[in-house]
Amino acid sequence: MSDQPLGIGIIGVGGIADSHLAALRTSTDARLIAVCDVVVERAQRVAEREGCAAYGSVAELLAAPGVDAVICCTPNLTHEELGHQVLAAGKHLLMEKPLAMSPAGARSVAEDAADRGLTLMVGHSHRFSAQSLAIREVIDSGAIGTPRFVRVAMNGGWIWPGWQHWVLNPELSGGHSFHNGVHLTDLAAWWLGEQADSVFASGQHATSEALQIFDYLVIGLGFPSGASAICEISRGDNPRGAAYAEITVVGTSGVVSRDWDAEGVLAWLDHGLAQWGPDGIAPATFDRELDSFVAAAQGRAAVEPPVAFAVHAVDVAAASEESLATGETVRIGAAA
Amino acid sequence: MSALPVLLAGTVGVGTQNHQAEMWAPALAAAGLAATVVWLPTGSEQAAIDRGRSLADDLGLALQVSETPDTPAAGAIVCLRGEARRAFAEYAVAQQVPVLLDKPTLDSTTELEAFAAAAGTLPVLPGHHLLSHPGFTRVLTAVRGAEIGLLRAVHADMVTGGGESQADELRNLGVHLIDAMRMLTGPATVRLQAHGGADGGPRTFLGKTDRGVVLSHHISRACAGASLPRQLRLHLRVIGTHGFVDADLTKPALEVRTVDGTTAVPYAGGSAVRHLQMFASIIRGAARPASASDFVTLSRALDGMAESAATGTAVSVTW
Repeated sequence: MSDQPLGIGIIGVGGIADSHLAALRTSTDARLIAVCDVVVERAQRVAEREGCAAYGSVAELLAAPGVDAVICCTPNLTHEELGHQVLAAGKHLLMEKPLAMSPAGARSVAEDAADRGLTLMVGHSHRFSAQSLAIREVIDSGAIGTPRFVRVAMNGGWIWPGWQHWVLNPELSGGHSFHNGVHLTDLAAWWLGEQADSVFASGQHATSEALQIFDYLVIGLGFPSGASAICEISRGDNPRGAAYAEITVVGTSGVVSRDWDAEGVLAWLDHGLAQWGPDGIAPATFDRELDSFVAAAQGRAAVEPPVAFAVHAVDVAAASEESLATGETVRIGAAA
Repeated sequence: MSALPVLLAGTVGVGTQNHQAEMWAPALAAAGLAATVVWLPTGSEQAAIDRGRSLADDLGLALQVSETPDTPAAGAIVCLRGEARRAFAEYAVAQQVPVLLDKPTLDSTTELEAFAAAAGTLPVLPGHHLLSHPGFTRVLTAVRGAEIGLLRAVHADMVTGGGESQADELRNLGVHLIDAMRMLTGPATVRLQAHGGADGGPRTFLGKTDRGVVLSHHISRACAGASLPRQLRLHLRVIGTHGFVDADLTKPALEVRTVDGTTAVPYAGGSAVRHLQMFASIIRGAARPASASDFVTLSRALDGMAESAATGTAVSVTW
């Protein structure tokens, strides 16, 4: 255990890195040491703003003095290789989800971390949102009895860039099951307290018939206990500006729901109804995730989610993509 | 306009539930209907006779136990099962009396085939009152009128709190949502995977129609055995190419908050009254439901879902 702030390096400073950088600004337990990016100018701009070092290669970042741990924010295809590279350098690793783009790849990285005695955490950030934690508390309180069904819907319109973007390329992202689906299926497994053993998925190319990923995706999960879950994620809804979130957990003696208007701030504007997130709710998710990672890396807490669940999320994503391709139910094995 | 005379045939319920007495009879007057007699088939069990007599006394009517009813009526609300239900269909056809059939799919597909054969083209309205819920009918209008564009997805959940747990909640509760879904999709073949234990309790399915419409539902009963059953959740979400609709079918309702807790006070009339109003329209000839053979189609779809849940494999059903 150390009372020194954990030195953090970030690989890849596009997109989701902004949320990690914001969390680092407020953390007293971690300190940003360096960033790197394949576009070195982009890394330099971030470094100038954040007051850290900038590099154009992963090797340089890993060799930088003071880097104890790495947050990896690169496209999904790179996760497995970069994971091994970071661990081989003796650094703790917070890998953005998914852990890898194949079950074998996920297990390989997980085993590598375990063999080296390093902390591996995967950024299933939704576990750290206020609403998710509140639902977990309701379940733990016993108020709804034993949970046996979860519905998670996180829908919205198109938020990705144009055709060039890597998320739209299944060879780079793995498909929507890997890119966003893992968030929802992980929540279901977490709340139900077990890992799925069957997966059936349906999807649509809602925004364009030419899409190679399903921008509208629904994953159905079956669990050994007989519990089930429906996980729905959309980036193809119309109107594009709509954001719809619904979570329902049904137990043997009650229901807990996070309805679409749960955050309580609604605005009727010239262009229609809008939901305004109350201040501070969204950033706190990444603050809590960072705190959790630092605590695990410093030996003060267990990794959240447990690595086995992060590997399972990859199993489910792979099964979901297979189900989308075949129209059949895919059975998956026990925990990693 | 004078009330239309209807026959209350049978008091068979689920466990101690008695839809005839608890749901249909209290809603008759508001729908412009009036009961003429409570009728039970010869050979009814003593418990059924006791229930029938209690209902008849409450309504100030006679209880008639006979082979067939001998009191004229313009329509019949039927809470019977199996052979008694089939036999009543023969009587209804002979008298040309439209029927509102309570919980049709608690009979098996084989029994429903026999009922449909007996009923022929007789107008038979299923007792799926959710179909007449004002929130649902508004959504149905929106879908059929493409107010949200072309239909892309339907997701629905029903969680009933309390009441008696049944051997097959899919055929008891879930059928309400399935029937609502097929109203929205129209005739379709659905590739689906269902989940649910062998105890017949909670049921979930995810599927996709041959037009690519994604469907899911969950039904279950929480806290079975508790008194005062009520809907803990009855939620429908419909997504179109140009918008989506979110409908809380436990409403319209006021919310009353006191230091003792929060309660809901429904308003604008319940779905049972509206369903009986639909039945009244059918009696008058102003509307016509699908024939009884439609129940067979629905029942076969439920059989397919049960098979999927039991085997853990995807199946295709047609509705």
